[in-house]
Amino acid sequence: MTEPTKELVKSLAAANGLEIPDERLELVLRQYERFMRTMAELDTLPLPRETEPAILYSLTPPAATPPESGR
Amino acid sequence: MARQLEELTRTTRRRFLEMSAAALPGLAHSAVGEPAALPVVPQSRPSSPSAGGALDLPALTITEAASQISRKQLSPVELTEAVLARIDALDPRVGAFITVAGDQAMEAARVAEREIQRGRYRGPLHGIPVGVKDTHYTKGIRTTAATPVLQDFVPAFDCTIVERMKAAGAILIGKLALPEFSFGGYTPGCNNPWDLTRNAGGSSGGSGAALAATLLLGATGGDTSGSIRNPASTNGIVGLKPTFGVVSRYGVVPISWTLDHLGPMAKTVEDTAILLKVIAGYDRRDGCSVQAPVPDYPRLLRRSIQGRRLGVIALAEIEQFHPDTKKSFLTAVKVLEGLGAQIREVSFPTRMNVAGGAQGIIRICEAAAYHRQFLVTDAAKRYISDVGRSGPGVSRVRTNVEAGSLLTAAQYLQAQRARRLFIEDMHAVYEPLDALLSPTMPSPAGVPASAPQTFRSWWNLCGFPAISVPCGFSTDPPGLPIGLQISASPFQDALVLAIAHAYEAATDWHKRRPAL
Repeated sequence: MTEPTKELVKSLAAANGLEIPDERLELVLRQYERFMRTMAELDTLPLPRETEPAILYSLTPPAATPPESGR
Repeated sequence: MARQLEELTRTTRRRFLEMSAAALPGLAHSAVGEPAALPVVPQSRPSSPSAGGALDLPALTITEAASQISRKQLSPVELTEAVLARIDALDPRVGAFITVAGDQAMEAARVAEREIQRGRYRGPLHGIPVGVKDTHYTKGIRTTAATPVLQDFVPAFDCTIVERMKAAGAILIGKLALPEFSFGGYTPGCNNPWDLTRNAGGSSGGSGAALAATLLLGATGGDTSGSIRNPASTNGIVGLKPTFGVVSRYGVVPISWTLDHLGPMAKTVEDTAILLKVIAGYDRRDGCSVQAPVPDYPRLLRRSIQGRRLGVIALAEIEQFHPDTKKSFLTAVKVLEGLGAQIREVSFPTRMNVAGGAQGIIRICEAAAYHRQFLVTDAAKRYISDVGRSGPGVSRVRTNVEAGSLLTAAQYLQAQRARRLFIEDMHAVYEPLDALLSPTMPSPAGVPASAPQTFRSWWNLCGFPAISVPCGFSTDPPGLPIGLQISASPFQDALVLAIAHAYEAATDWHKRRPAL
């Protein structure tokens, strides 16, 4: 993967409608690099092809175990 | 005015309740000073009365105070007055409050007193002074989330938690400190009552410090990566992160919609159960709120833990934790074993080691979406600046949400796909267990730790309930609280509370208070 640069950060931000002042670019770049390292770790996880994201929702009422009758 | 206050605090409890409801407002108003010019400001009150007497009232637990209030032996006005006086005396050193709503609190206390005098007692929170983290919307009271971005924000409505606490008769004393927008485990300006040179932790640091300093009887906090349990452990009080969806998040400044949990914080497990019973329950205004009956948490506390299967984090996993933390944790495990629990060592699947990473990506992507409303306007300039600054108290919110804005939707959803695996892993780990024990924090307050896993954010990622209860004090450095985390499968909040209560009843860590 190409190493992120200040220019890349500036371009990505602009594409997102954000303007990051020059004096903040170094800080944002460093944080973005940390996030990308985390993503690289996550990419090592063998995800089964059929795995859906955990945010999909159901329109049926949650099948929660009534707490008082739980274990 | 000082003489009036002296008389006020000398007045007996019985005398208070014999006073006519009409006579009380004038007295109390004089005691709390002039009305504020703005709807919300820290209000000045007379300096505290002499030690003892009224000053001891804030040290009561909710259970103790409710017992006296229900029998008309303690007046909500007297209790609120004492709490406000203690805040005046101590909070300049502790820094737990962002806003003290003294006038509103006294008015609510007078209303509570009149109701109770007329026989309309609402339950164990009636007349009890509480505080909420300053992310909770409070009608007519400024809600800042500790950020200049929201410094003038006065909500037009109460969040569900505040709405429910008020309906239960609680007295809202004020809004509690946190780091900017709840980001991080360090609350700037909020000192640990056990050692005022150290921080109270976070992000619900104000809630933890206020309870430890007995400036309140109950509080609430928010927990996205451990922010209730961290300050609970750090300040030696009890804090519960309930199962996701049990407590409504409606009307609370968020970090992350799928990770944020709100929950009770208190001096004891029983008080925590009382608070949870009031604030839990379905709320159609929160899209993640669960439609399930609210258990009678206080009633369910007194269950035997005989034969309960308690997992213990493998010692290798906490090898790098502070020696005092490890010692206190292992001693706590022995206590529970002595109460009849079956202890077994537990290891998590290796792939859980990247669960914290998934939690971090989800957290920042959702935060970036929320913060976009500020980042694309001039409000962006009002974030606390971190340019050229370093150290634990420096807010990195703007930098984090700007960098988070650069991540893609595909990356966010990839983290959410990984989350599904981790939830499955957690269910598998808990399947043969009733609950799991771990240290809440790797080290006591302000003591550096280099532990690779901290055993808090996984419970946010997967929505499982977890509580922190005091389980000891450090010896090096001396006198800092240590917490035990007890967690269980989703919707086993009552069981978590029952195990914590059994532990608490067998120990006396929760009875200790800092010398202030």
